[in-house]
Amino acid sequence: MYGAVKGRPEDQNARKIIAQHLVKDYILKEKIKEKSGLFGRKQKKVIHAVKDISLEIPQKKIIGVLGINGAGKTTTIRMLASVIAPTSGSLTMNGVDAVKNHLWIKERINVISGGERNLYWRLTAKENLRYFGSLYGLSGDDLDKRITYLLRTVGLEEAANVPVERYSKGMKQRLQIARGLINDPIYLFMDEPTLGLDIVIAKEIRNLVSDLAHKEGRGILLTTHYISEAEELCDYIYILDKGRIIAEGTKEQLKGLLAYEPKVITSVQEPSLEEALIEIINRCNS
Amino acid sequence: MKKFLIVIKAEITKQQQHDYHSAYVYFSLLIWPILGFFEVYYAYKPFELTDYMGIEDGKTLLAFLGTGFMAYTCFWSMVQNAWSMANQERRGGTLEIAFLTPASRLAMSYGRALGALIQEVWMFVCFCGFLLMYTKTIRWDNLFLLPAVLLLLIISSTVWGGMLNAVFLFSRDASIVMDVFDMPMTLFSGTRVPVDNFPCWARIVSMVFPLTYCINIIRFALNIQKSSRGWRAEILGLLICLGVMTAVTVFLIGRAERHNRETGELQFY
Repeated sequence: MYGAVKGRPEDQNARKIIAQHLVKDYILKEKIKEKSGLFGRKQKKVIHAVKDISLEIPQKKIIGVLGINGAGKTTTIRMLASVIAPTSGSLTMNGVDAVKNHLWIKERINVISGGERNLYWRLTAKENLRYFGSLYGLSGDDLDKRITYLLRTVGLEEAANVPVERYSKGMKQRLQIARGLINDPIYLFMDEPTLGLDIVIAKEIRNLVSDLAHKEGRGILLTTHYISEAEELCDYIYILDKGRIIAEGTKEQLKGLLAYEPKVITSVQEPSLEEALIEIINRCNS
Repeated sequence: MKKFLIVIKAEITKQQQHDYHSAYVYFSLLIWPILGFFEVYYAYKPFELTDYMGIEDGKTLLAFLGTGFMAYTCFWSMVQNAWSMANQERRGGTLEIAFLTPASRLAMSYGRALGALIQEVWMFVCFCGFLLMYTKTIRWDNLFLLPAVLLLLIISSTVWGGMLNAVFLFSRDASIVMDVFDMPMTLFSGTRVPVDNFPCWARIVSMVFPLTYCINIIRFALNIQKSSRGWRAEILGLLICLGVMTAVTVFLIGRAERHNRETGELQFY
């Protein structure tokens, strides 16, 4: 593949991320209002952000993680990306313990978020990519070739030397994707990559995401609130609610869970994925 | 080691591209230290100084204050840069992206410090260099001391700045750190007043700041004003300070990383 980082291992065995029984608890300090005193007393409160999640992210697949706000999607991504350590559970990437070897993992994964943060606005696209590439130990001609390839891939070649502060939202998101690919990661974690984008740009980015997995062989974990996006892209979907997986399967399997129940039949014979997801989450909450 | 140096170079380049992209920035970086310097010089000038702790006349006073302010500017610019960079990077989200990478956090800290140092102080250091030549403190026969003095300042300031970058990882708003380092460092490090002039308790406070040792070594080397401790004690003191600061930096970065992996946040308060 043109533009690949030198020395990339072949990873023949167990080409997937496997997470088993991941749990993440946060300890918060809450003010006790009734007995606050001069400075306020605080008590510790444990937040169970993720209670028990087991999932797999194979290479060449796009795995969707859906759920309402506060379901634990972002915490799950952060554990999988080795940003935070799980409170308990196991996490391996291609057979390697991800919790103990988080620096090794970080060389081989990347995270792409939606939104306009995570870039230096005063720097140009090239300068941003050169900086982030250097943090992965890349330099010289290899890095320059990689930057040229990535900017061409995301369609920013002509705007390469323009400061990011002059970019449109779509251009910034495309640069985010380029930044997320700078280290040629085996696995990508995409947290709402088309957030706030118009339908044309969003479609371009979805096509790019699909190519990254199905043509280039990367494993991708995608979170999104756009059901149509999950329907178009995801090979397998996990539905999260209150820190647990409440349903999983392909989109057909998830639709099939409720297809023959009178409650969810609308004007079409089987429910849409959106209807199925809402019904699954509502049933879990009731 | 190669990756360590790549990260340092990347941080220096990024600093220059991000913060020093306009000529007006350099103009402002020259003006404030010069104003501070002349404010103190003209405050002392009315007093007839004759052989006061090695300061014999107006030119010696200029050299004394010039060396003090040159070193102080290097160290103080590290404090300002660490505070502003931490704030900007935290708000912009680039700090968390940098921590997603496997890059050495120590290299990032030192690279940021070194990048800021070079950009922020080179003009004022040139000004002080001319000042020292004007006062004949630097002459042809001791010109070789100038690179040694600069190297001492660069290394000490970078280690100091690296530690401050690690400190500012810990808080969204560490402005109290700015206050702690501003006036005490100015007063007790010997920038404006010889340290030997202080009472015992103040001399003990002055030993905490690496800037004190730097200034004393530079003044001793340039024969401006000799410290009562002797140059060996000053060098030993500086080496101990640098060692302690490096250890503190490594400890703080490790602590911040562990805290980040537990809570998902870098800041403690």
